[in-house]
Amino acid sequence: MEQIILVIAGLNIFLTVCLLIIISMASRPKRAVHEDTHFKHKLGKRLEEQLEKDISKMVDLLGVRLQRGAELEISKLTNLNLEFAKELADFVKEQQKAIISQLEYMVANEVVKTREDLEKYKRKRMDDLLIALNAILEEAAVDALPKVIDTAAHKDLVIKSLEKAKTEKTL
Amino acid sequence: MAPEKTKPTPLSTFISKIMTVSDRSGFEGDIDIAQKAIWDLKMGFLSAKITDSVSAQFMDLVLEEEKSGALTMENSIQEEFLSTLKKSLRKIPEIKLTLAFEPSRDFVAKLADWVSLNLQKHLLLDIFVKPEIIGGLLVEYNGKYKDYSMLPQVKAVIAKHHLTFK
Repeated sequence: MEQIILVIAGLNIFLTVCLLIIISMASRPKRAVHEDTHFKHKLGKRLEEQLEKDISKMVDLLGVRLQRGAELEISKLTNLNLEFAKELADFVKEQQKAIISQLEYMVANEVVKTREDLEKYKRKRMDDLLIALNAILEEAAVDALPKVIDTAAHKDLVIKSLEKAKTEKTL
Repeated sequence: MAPEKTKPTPLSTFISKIMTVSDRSGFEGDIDIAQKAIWDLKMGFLSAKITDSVSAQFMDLVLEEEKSGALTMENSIQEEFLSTLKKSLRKIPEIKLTLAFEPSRDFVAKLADWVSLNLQKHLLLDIFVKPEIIGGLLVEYNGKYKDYSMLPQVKAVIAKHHLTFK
């Protein structure tokens, strides 16, 4: 961009110099004008040719420089894009890794927690079941035993209990 | 010289034969009927006033008392007799026995004999039946309570052999 500005500034200076020469020639006395018509004509033509040449050179030079600059900029941009794309890809890869690792950790934790909960639930259910089973057994025993004992054994137990009560001075 | 034994009266014999609290309640019911009957019929022996209304044992006691001359046709004497009987019944101490089975009358008599012989006291048996004590008995006497049943032993055995998953 700076180069373009420099070229344009150079071109402006050159054009200004040419304009000054033309003005100085035009301001000569009238009598000389007629004498120099042929000369002026020649000079103007030469100047015009020279100007055309210079301008053409400058335009060519400017075109080349512009093209180079643009190519350089495009190349820079391309490189920048590539670098950015690479960085982005790396970042995405890292993020993916982090997310996967985080997910794996969460899943593992959840599995452990679920296993623990399941174990606790299982243990509690087993305990409840045991309590219920033992209560049923106790109830069944208490219910069945008096019927299994015959009357004679009952009477014997009662008399023995009375004797024990007497010995222990409950009576 | 040994002290002379008091000759048993029909009343003392009657009272000594009462074995249970339930028996006493029955006789108290008889006494209530007799007390009412005294004033329903102005004159006559008590036995005549309560015929078919009371238990045979109570009637026997009344007849015995009338035969001995202690119970006359006078209403006030009859009233006094019944009142004394009621008070005497209330004075008999009790022993509460809880059994695992329904005892027969014979077994209750055996228990009453055992108590009388071993404790040298006439106690009224207050009998309850609780099959869940399995066997033996629970005793409550004179403010003391003791479990002589099989339930604690059976519970201990069951607890020892409690099912376990461990």
